[in-house]
Parts: sequence; structure tokens; C-alpha cells
Amino acid sequence: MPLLDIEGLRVDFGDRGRPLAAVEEFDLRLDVGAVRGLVGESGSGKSVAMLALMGLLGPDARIAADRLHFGDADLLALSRGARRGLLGREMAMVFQDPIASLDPCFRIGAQIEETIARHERLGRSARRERALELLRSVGIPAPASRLAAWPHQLSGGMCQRVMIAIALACRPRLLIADEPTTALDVTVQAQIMGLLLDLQRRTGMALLLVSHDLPLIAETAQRTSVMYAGRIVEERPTASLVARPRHPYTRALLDALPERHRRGERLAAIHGSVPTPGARPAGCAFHPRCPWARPRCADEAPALLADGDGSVRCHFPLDPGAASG
Amino acid sequence: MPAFILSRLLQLVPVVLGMTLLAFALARLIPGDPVETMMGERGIDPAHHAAMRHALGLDRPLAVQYLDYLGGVASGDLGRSLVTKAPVLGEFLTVFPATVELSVIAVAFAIAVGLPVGVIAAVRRGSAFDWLAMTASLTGYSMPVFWWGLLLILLFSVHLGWTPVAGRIDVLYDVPPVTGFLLVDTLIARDGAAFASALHHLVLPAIVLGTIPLATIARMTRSAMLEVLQADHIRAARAKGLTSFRVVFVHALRNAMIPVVTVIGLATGTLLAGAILTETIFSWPGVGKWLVEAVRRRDYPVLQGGILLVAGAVVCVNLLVDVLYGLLDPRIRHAAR
Repeated sequence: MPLLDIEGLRVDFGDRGRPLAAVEEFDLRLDVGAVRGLVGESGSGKSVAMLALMGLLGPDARIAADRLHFGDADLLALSRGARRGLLGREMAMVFQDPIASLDPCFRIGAQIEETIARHERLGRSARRERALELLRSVGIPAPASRLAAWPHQLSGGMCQRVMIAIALACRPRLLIADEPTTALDVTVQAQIMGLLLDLQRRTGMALLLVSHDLPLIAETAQRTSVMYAGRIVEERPTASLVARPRHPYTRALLDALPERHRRGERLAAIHGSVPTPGARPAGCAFHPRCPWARPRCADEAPALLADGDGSVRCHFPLDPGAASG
Repeated sequence: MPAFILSRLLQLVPVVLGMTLLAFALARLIPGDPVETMMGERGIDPAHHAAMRHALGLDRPLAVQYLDYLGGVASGDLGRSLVTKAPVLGEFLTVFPATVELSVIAVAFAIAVGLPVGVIAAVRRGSAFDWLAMTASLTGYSMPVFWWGLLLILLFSVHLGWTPVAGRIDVLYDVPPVTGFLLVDTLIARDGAAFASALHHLVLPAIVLGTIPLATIARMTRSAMLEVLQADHIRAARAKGLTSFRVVFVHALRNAMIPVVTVIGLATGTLLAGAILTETIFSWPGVGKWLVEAVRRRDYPVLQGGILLVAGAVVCVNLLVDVLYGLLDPRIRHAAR
């Protein structure tokens, strides 16, 4: 049984009469202990999908799904209280901006211990011991003295390590990392990624890595889903996704990477930007930006269909042989 | 923390100096002089007038009078009232506790009601409760104090007979003054009936005086909470699985307290400066009534001393607020070092 089984997830904002779908037809299956990537430009709906999964969206978001299972729990059938009980204990999340994600008015130690106190019956000294152990495991130097530190006294990288320590405090089965390194310096990014993967291997938790940075995910995730305008457009093992992309959008993401270009050659940007939920074109949402678009793409929305070792949402998937260009 | 408080205290020196000048100038800017008001409507012949001015030292150059006053302040002597001949400090100390008692209860009432109302209005933004609370607070804020006070007196004292109309306590009780706070003194004297009477007298003026601070606190709490509830660390706190109560009242409220404490401090300062209207309506023997009387009599020493002492009290409240900032937010505490 997969740890996470999502089928047909849909998140609407706005009036009931004119709903704006931030996410629709979102499918995701994640095995116990697997590492999965989720990529897409900003505005593609990946963060909204993850927040919907956690149950952290505000009351103005309407969530529906054919299936939303975590382990043997049907998340849609659970009470609010029961779902909250899962957060921080079974499923945890690390956010993009680590400095803003820590409460400035509480010490680091208190913020870690708070999660433990919420979910486990543990004495004060035992909680403190666990917090210290967690800080040590996320590679914070002089962890004993850091317990009493305030968030503003730590760097961004250190804050993200603390956030990871908080997320792992109750040994969750799933960790969602939403752009965990985007706000950090390049030198620190690699350290945090290394730490996440190392912890994933040691604890055996599943890791859902959300990023706009395809190479970052290519190095780490076994399988990757690509999101565009609220929908998954391609899903397959990361190695073949990068080597032989079938969806034009995946191909465009890869072509836009600077390292794929020779010196002096002009970088290939994807023209235009992701359409907002209210302004999505008819047919395939990508067709106005797609160099391979044909008349049918503007009329008929493609479905996500099985394709080789994964699936793709395109009427005219690219020929794998031509992909390396 | 001691260094933080010390640095704030040092900043007070120029403030206090400015206050003495202002208090001195304000007292003398009022037209007329003490001699004229003492003599009443029948007037006084010029020679006698000049002699009395000389006797009171009012014929000296203003600069000399100011330096004389400043010298007195420096040595802790605020002079004597021209009317009662009693030391200004002594008079102040008898009326100040009445004002403090009223203000503290009024602010406590404003916080006890305003804070939860603001929090709930923010959490239930756009709900009927939010709309009702914000409309009521705007009404309370806009209501003239003298009108609001009279309205409550008419309803609760005259019509329903629930509360007394004026004063601090029934005349039949004789409570030995220890602190000057009747609620405390009656408890020290172990006189339950007197305590009840003092409390009974306090309720209505405290509500009248607390209405505007209540409205300000409720609105400020709401807007500060709305901002904090959008913060990343609130989402992160929810992601830990914490209960809504803990997220709202521990994490969000703690972060929203800085602006709220600011308005509480400002409100307290204003009330200490003499809730002139409220004290007049309820015949409350406090600083406000005392100063108004001094203005009427052109009692320069009382005005100079009284304004300075009240300003000093306001400054102390502000200092307390600064210290509270540091306690509430570690970033402010560390930046002050």
C-alpha cells in the first residue's frame, strides 16, 4: 500500500458561482520511504497542492478529491482534530523562508519542544534531551547553547536546520519540503539538500521535494512529477524524465537551464508566464507557449495518459530520440 | 536588561528639563494673575496689587522666577500653593491615588474586554461578531465622554438606582488612609462594607473612562492580529499540529502585543494626566479636578508642580512600556545593547 495516494485533487478559490481552480486533476502516489520530486514554475499550484494535503489552507479554499489517503487514513473523512493530530507527528512540512517560519518571540529549544509536547507524553527533561539530539542530528554546532538562542540570532541556513529538526521531532513518515533551499545562499543550498537526503536515508521517511529547480530534484528524487497551471503534465522516473522528456513543457524547463548551453549561446527562456487560474486558455493550458502546438491543442484539453515508464498530458508527446537535441 | 533601562533613563534627562520649561510657561500664559483672582470681582488698588505681587515674588524677571523654580525642582521642592499655602507635593500625593485607582481599574476593564474582542474579531474576520464589535468600538470611540457619562448616570444611578452618582465612597465610612487607594485601604482596615462601597462608586466612572481605551485596544488588537495571522511562522505553527487556541493565543497574540501595548501605554498616560471630564462628572477627587481648580485660581506653583508631576507619571508609564517591549520581543531587547 502506498504511503500517500492522491487522485483527482482539486482546490478552488473564489466565488462558488465562478470558482478559480488553483489545482485540478492532481494525482500523486508515494511509496513508503520514497523520494519524490514535484517541479513547476511559480504559480503552477505545487505549494497549494501541498498545503491542501496538509490541511493548512484557509477557509476560503475548497478542497475536493476522488481519493486522499495517507497510510490507511482517509484524510477527507477525518475530523479536523484528527487531521491536526497527524500534523507534526505523521506528516511534517518544511517551508521556503526559514527565518520567517520561526516565531521570533520564542527560543529555538521551546519551539522544538512544543511539537514534542503536543504529540508525545514526555517529561520536560526528556523533551529537552530529544531537542538537543535533534539539533545535533541536523548538524547545528554547539547544540546545547543553541537551545536557548532566539531565531534572530541564527543565519538562514541555521534556521532551516532548526525547521528540519522541528519537522523531524516526532519521526514523521512523510516530510514535505516546499522550496527548502530557495531562500538560502547557494553554498548553503547543497548542505541543506545533503542533510535532507541523509536524514531521509537514516529515518526511512518518505520525502516530497517541491521545487522550481529541476536539476536540484534530478539529483535526488527517484520519480518526479511536473506541474503546469494547476495540473500534473508529466510523471516518470527522474532519470528518464531528464534524459527523454515527453512533454514540451518539461523539455522547455530543461532547455532553459544555463548548463545546457554552450558559452556565448543565447539562453532559451520559455516565453510568457504561467496563466493565472482565472485566465487559463481553452484546450491544453500550455499551448500558447508551446513551440510544437497544433490546432487540436487549442480546442481539446489533453488527459494524463500512461506513456512508457510514466504518464504524460499531451496530444503530441515529443519523440524521445529527438529530445537530447 | 539593566543596561537597557539605564539607557532609557538617561534619555529622560532632556525630556524632564523640557517639561519644566513647558509647565512654567503654560502656567504663565493664562491671562490674569493670582492676585486678581484672589481679590475677586471687587478689584484691588494698584499699589496694593503691586505689593502683593512683590510678596509672592511675581514681580521678578521671568528668567529669575524660572531658575528659582528649577532650583526648587532640583532639590525636590515644588513650592506651596498660593491659595492653601500647603506644599504642592503633599496636595498632589493626596489627589493622585484617586486618579491612579480610577485609571488602573478603567484600563484593566478596557484590556479585559478589548483584548479578547479584538482577537476573536480578527480570527472570525468578516463574521457578524467582527462587524458588531467594530461598529460598537467605533461608536464607543466617537462618543463624547461627558455625554456618555451622563447617559450612564441617568440609566444606572438615577433610573435603576444600581450605582451611586458621585464620590469615591459613602460618607459614613471612615477609612484610615494608608496607601490612598480606597480599595486597598478598606482591605487593610478589614472593612468589607466600606470595600463594597468603594467598589460600587468605582464601577461607573471606570466604565466611562475605560470606554475609549477599550475601543482603541479592540481595534488595534484586531488589526495587529490580522497581520500576524498571515505570517509564515503562524502557518509553521499550524503545521506542527498545534491546537487553534495555542496558535492564536500563544503564538499570534504574543507577536501582536507590541502595538497593543503601545496603545495601552498611551491610554494609561492620558488617563493619569487627569481624566478631567470623567472626574468632574463623577465629582471624583483626583488630579484632573485639582488641576482645573488651580487653573481657575491661577495658582502658579500648583500648576507648575502639578503639570510636572503628571508629566513625570506619564514618562514613567512610557518607560514601563519600553521595558515591556524588550520583554515581549527579544529582537528589541538585543538591539538596545
